Parts: sequence; C-alpha cells; structure tokens
Amino acid sequence: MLEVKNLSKSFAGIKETVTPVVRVNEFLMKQGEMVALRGESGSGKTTFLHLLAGILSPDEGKIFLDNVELTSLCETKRDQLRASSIGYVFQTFNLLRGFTALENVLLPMSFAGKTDKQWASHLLMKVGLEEKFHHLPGQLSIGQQQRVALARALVNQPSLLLADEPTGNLDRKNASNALEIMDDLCRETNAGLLIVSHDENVISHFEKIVQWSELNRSSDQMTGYSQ
Amino acid sequence: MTQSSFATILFLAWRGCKQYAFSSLVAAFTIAMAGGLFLSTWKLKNEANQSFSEAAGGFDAVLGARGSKLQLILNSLFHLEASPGNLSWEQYELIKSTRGIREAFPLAVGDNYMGYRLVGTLPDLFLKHEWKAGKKYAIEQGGRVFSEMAKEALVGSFVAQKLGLKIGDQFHPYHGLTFREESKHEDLYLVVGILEPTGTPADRVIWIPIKGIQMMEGHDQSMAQSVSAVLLSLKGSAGFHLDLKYNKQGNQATLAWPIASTLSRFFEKLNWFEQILSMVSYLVALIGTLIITATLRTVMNERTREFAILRCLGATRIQITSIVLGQSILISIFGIFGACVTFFGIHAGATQLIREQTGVLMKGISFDQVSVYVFVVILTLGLISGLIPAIQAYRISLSENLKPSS
Repeated sequence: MLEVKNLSKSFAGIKETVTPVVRVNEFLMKQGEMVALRGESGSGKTTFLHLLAGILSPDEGKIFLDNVELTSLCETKRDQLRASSIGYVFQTFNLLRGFTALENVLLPMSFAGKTDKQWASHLLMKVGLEEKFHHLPGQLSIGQQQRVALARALVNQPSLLLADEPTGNLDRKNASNALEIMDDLCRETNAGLLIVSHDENVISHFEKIVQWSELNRSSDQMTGYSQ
Repeated sequence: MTQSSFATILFLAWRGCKQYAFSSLVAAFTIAMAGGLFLSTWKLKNEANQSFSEAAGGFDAVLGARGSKLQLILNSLFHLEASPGNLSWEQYELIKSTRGIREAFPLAVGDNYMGYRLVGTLPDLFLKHEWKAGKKYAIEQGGRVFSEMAKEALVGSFVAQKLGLKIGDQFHPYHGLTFREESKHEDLYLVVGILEPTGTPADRVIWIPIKGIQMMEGHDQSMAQSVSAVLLSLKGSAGFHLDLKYNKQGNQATLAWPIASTLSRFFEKLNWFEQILSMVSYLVALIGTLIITATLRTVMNERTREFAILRCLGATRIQITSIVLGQSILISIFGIFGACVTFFGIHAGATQLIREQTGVLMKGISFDQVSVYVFVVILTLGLISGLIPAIQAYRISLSENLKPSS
C-alpha cells in the first residue's frame, strides 16, 4: 500500500550549508497495517510524514501509495490524492475554528467531491460526539477536539492515516481513549495507520514499532522543524 | 470545477464574510454608496430631462415678454420663477390669428393661495386642449371647469390634496407669487372642480378665469389688458417662421421654441453638478475597492493557517484562490444590492422633492443598460480588489503554515 524508496529531504541551513533531515532508503506498509514510529523530538519525523502526505516534495526518492507514484504527481493531483487517500491527524488537531464539528468533518469530503452527511455523522457518533455535531471547536474539550480531528481524517476512508503525535496534547486517559478510537476506526475503514510518537505509552499499543533513528540515515546534524 | 467543489468554495467564501462580518459590511456599504450615488446621478438627470420635456403640457412653444426663453418656460409651463414681463392683449390676439397656430392660450399670473399659484386662462384649455397625445384634462366627478366671467376655480390635484380643498370651498387669493398673510385680496373664489392627476405642473396650480387675474381687486389697471404668456400649439413648420419673426427680427417678445431643446440646454448647464457627483462616486468606489483589499488582506493574515489546513484536507491552490475571490465577489454582490437600495432611496426622495417643487412626476424606477454596466463595474472592482489577497492565498506555503502553533 505504501512504499518509500531512497527518500531524502534537506533544508537550507546557516551560511549556505544544507542540513539533511530525512534519508530513508526503504519503508513499506501493507493495507490496514498499523505502525508506530518512535523517535526523539526534532529528529525529522514530522518532515517524513509531510513528505508521505505530499505536503512537502522530496529532494530525491519515490513514494508510492496504492501503486500511484505520489512524487511524480503535479501539485494539484497530489492535493486530490491527499483528499481521497490520505488522512492526517495533527498534534494540535488543526480544526477550523469557525466551523462546527460536523462541518469540520464534512470539509475533506467536499474537496474529494463526495459529501455524505450520514457517514460523517456516523463517524462523529462513533467517536462519542453524537451530541456535539453543531459545537464549534472552542466549545469542545481538548479530548473532544482530538476525536473530531480523528473523524475528519478518516471521513474519506483513506487507505493511509498519518498521525503526528496525536496524543501529545492529551492527558493519559484521553490519550488511551483516542488510540482505541483510532485503532477501531482504522479497522472499520481498513486504513493503514502510521503514528509518530516519542511517548512509550502510545508506542506500547502497537505490535509493529519502527525506530526512526534506524530508519532515517541522515546525518546527526539533523534540525527538523518539528518534533 | 465540479458542482460540489463550487458549492464548497461558495460556502467557505460565505463563511469568510460571516467570520469577518463587520469589515465585509463596511466594504459592501462603501461600494453600495458609490454605486447608488452614481446610478442616482445618472438616472435622475436623464429621467428629469425626459420627464420635464414630456411635462410641457402638449404645447410646442411659449410666447412671452422679451427676455430669457428658459425663464419664460419655467414660469408659464412649470409655474416656477417670476414672469419676465407682460404682453398686451393685442399681441395675444395677433399671434392667435397668425397662420400656423393651432391653439393659443393666454396665461396671467400674479397671485397665490397659500403659496400655490393662481393661473388665469381660458376654460377651453380644459375643454379642448390635449395635454398629452389623445388626452384631455379630466375633472373629478361632480366638478366642472370654471366659467369665463365668474370667480370660480379649478384646483390641480396636488394642491387639492395638500390644502384639502374640495368642491364648494371658497378662498381669498393673496397677491404675489409667494404667500404673505397681509396681501389678501377681497375677491372670494369658489372651487367648482378638482383636476384628475396628470403628473405635470398643472397639478400644483389653482386655475381661474384669466379675467379673474386681470380684474382682481387691487391689481394695476394695466393688467386688465395684458397677459403673462401665451401657450402655443403649432402646425407644420410654423415654429421656424415665428422664431424668425419674434426672436431674430423683432424686439417686442420672445418665442421659446422648441421647448424640449431649451430644456435640454438647461440640463446641459447642470452637467457640472452631475460631474461633481460622478467624481464623488468614483472616489467612493475607489475607497470601497481599497477597503475590500484591506479587509481581505487582514482576513488573509488571520486565515493563512486556516487555508493551509484546507490545503492539507485536499483543497487545491486554485480552490483556495477561488475562496478569496469568491469572498470579494460576495462583498461586491452585497454592494450591488446596497447600491440598488441606495438608488431606490435617493430616487424616491428626489422624485418626491421634484413632484412637490415642480409638479412633474418622474418616471418609475427602471434598470437599463447603464445600470447593468454599473453592476458589472462593481463586480469587476470586487474581483480586482480580491486579486492581491487571492495571489497571497495562492502562494501559501503548506508546510510552513502547518507547524504546530503551540
């Protein structure tokens, strides 16, 4: 389902130096597989996820998603592929403030050209927000916001769900709850899940764990812009 | 762009307007003011020109004392301003019997009742003359035209409504064209009829027999044998001959002919006023455009992250750009609605004012090609003002703006 080959990404550093952030020779994920990527903060994991999501373009290498070479697509096609096949959960949720929970979930469907209010409602009910459809993010607790973000990421039934420190802002109880929901929803939609975390409590939920420091062969001077 | 995508863009643009409602409303209001002002200036000038030309009461020319043609027309047809002077009764008789004259009605002015003019003329004006092609004056049921030698009055519909005059009422005229309590005449006039509304200056006049003005108690003896003006309907090319006779060769009287062209020249003289108003509306439009740009740029600065999230959810650059442009178009559409409301308001006020001051009924509100141009210009301005923020939105860096904010 997901195949990464010779992927690399560098950023311009101080005084015309180039800082390599990601260098992954090979990475594979099967349909419906759930993988945890363990690594330290600031080691380039978010950059790797952004590359997989097509948010960033790599310097070199290829990414195949469902046999489509993501890295060869033009930006518009990449946006469309992201809308239909990739879900992304941010650490800070990134819900749209002026939109209700239901509208937040419906938006990715609109961009993918298929609006199914029933399915969006079903997902919100599945994450326990049946009475919060018309609440704005500001009217929801942190845990509830994260659940809206999960429903939004999975609403287009993507083949791959990318989660970047999804429990980073949650307390232990909410974090555990979020992971259960994520697991449950991915199984229901048969989506593969790649979760990035440095939290051992999160990592321990997964059978397949990949050590980022082993996967990423970039130099030790890495200065990835996120975790 | 699919229908669903279009609906999403429209929805997001609408949400943008709602989220920044105050700024959007200020921008739309400014556009509305500019559009409304421009439309009103343009339409009122043209409508006034047309309505005044059509309000000539079915006459082709006016003969009066030597002086300004415009003053003659304003005094005798629109019952405004003072009379430029008098003609002798013989001059009236002479013009009446001149070849090429179809109708000639003498007018005498000089008195008022409660500020509304008393105009003396012949009963035939209301019995035989067509004030509009195929239309003679109509009198409300139970009324009749005054008798030539009686102290009777036929009241214009506007005056009757304003002063509450009805058949059987009596009144004392006042000397002069403006109402002064101390200048009351002893003569007592009886209202014998009320004119049906015509939408012309005839509505705001009290018509009495010409002998009434001429012989009014307290008037100068010389008035008994003079008239203020003569209204003329002409046959064929009589106008050219009369113009030559009175205006170019003679020096006793002035012939205002053709009435429409004299009025057009009058309106042309008002062009400077129209130009000033147009300039004001252009300036307001420019300010409106700048306000839309400023609003959208402010909104852009606050929505950059939101747009980046939308991109991440699958929105393309073109869709994000369209959302910003959609927002500016929506503001422009509100501006167009506002411009219509402003135009209706100004038109209604101006129509009422013109009706009260001149009796001329302006045409109803209509939208023509110029209105369509104005709407297209507003939409184009909206699009132009949205361009810079839209380009800014197009260039949003996805990864830069998706960094954790806390």
